[in-house]
Amino acid sequence: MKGKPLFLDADIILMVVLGAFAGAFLIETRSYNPTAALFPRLVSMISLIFIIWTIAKRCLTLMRKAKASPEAEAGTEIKEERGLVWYWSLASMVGYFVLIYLLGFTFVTLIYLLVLPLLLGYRRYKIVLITGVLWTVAFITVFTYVLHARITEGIVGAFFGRS
Amino acid sequence: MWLEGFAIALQGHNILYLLLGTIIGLVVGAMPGLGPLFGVGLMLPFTFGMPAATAIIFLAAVHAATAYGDSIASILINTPGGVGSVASCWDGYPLAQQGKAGLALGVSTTSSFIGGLIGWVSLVVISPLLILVALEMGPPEYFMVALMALSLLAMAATGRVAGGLALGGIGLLLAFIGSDPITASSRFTFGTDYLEDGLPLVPVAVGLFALSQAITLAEQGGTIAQIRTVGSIRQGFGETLRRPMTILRGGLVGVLLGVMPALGLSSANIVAYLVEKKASKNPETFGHGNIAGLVAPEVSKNTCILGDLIPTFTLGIPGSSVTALFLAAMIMHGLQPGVNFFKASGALPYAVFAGILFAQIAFFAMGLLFARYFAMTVLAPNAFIVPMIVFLSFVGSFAMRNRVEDILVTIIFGLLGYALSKRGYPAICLLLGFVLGDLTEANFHRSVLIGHGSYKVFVESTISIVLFSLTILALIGPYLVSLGKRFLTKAK
Repeated sequence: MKGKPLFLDADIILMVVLGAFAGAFLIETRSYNPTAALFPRLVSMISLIFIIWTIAKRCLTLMRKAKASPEAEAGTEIKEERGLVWYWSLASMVGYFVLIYLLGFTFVTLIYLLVLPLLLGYRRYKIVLITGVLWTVAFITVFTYVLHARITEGIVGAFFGRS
Repeated sequence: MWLEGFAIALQGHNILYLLLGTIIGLVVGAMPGLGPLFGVGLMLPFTFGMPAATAIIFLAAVHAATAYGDSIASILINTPGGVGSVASCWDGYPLAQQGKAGLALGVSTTSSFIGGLIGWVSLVVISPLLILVALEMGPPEYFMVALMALSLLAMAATGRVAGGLALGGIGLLLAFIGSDPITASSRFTFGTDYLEDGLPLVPVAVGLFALSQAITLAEQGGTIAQIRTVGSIRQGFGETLRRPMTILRGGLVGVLLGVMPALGLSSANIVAYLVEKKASKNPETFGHGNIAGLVAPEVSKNTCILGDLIPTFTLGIPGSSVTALFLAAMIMHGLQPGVNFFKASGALPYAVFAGILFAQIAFFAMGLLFARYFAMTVLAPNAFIVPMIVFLSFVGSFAMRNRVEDILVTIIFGLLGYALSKRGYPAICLLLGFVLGDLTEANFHRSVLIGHGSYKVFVESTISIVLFSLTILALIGPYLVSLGKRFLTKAK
């Protein structure tokens, strides 16, 4: 039987991650008092049973598929090429968060709203500029004057604010 | 008294604040993650200088409009406007994709309005009766209610039962993070202060549904509506009114969950959706743009938010965190909640009730006026919408507690939500478990304490037995029916 190994299947990887999470919770309950541990222990054990069941079912399905048609994996490469968008969409979100943490919300939000539409292929520059500026201004106005809330300045902003 | 109350509510300044509250509520509600709790909490300090009736009417308008506004984002961009409108995405968004965003918004506006009316009637007419039942309920009964709601996991996990139940378990585990409800000892905080209060609901829900949707939209490209039309909003009226049983079921779920303290908005719309799916002759069409799948949660949500007010006004017990703010507003303005609110405040309670009714009418009228413009969103390119969703999701997550860490939680759950949706696992099971975790565990332990360690306490009251029987029936009922059918076919 040739093809992708079972441990590389996305469903199985997902379930293993969730299983590890439930397992970590189960181990952690050993350090709690019986009242605090009762429910988490029960739930993590039940979850692990369902996760193992799901993995087993998936393995069986994959093995049956592999036996039925060894060429079933055709077309995967095209899908993966298109699938890269999710990867850098997520990367841009993480980048946005890290920059918020470092430089504060305001400046980074403006940059994000101006750059991401262009990266995603939107080419109406005027609309991007107007909406990006408007959203940022609306955000600052609402937080400062309506909510009277502090917009995070980030580590850099806080450093310069203090000095 | 009623006439006097209506006359007070119709005074110029009260109407003005009613409209202002409605506009604010619509704007706040339409932002992902920001629901009635945020809207009412935000506006509470602004009511300091207002007369008591005006303040409560203003907050009621914000409350009603925020709950309605929540559905706009749910339907148009598959991003729950708040935790109370998660289920509105499931059939609302497919309708928007089919070029029927206008129809979906029409259905949502009409259903929300009808839900509001049912909630208002229950608040005014049947609240004393419901309170009698609610007063009979203690921790064992609440545990049974939570168990009943958890049994819905099996229904929510259609097609992926084992995976869905596992996700429900993971949701429950996530709910256990923070302080143990009985001994107050820290659990699963892994040494971080951030997790001491538990995981915040809004960032989790926004991540699971909004951010994951942003990634999906970025991947898809093009526009949300696959057909470049938004459909007729007016058609939404007819489609809603043609489903009286759906309205009735949604209303019933909304009233029942609303009147019980601690249950409410976050579960009402999900429960109503699943109940409707179970009652439907074509459950397989749910999730593909079935109008009943939008009517039920919308009716239920708006009924529930008014049902929440019943214990607040009549007993002084807040039905939810939003109504706790109402309670604060009442006390702030010198009103005594409970029996005295009706006995010692003259026409004021009636003015407040009239104001709440007008608030429903106000959001309905404004919804009709602006729904068409909102609906245009689905025609905008995804490349333009995605950064907005991400930005609004981050703001929504950050704004509740002003903590940057909440954004990180949103991203983590966004990734999980995306992975789950990509592999066809129902993320809602995780959210349902997360919402019900605390309620289940706390009431279980409280019951055992009341019963001095005996589990008999769970079957000592009639309400508990009825609720438990209903749970068992809901779980094994479908199997019994199909078994019976098979047996009959064989016999023939």
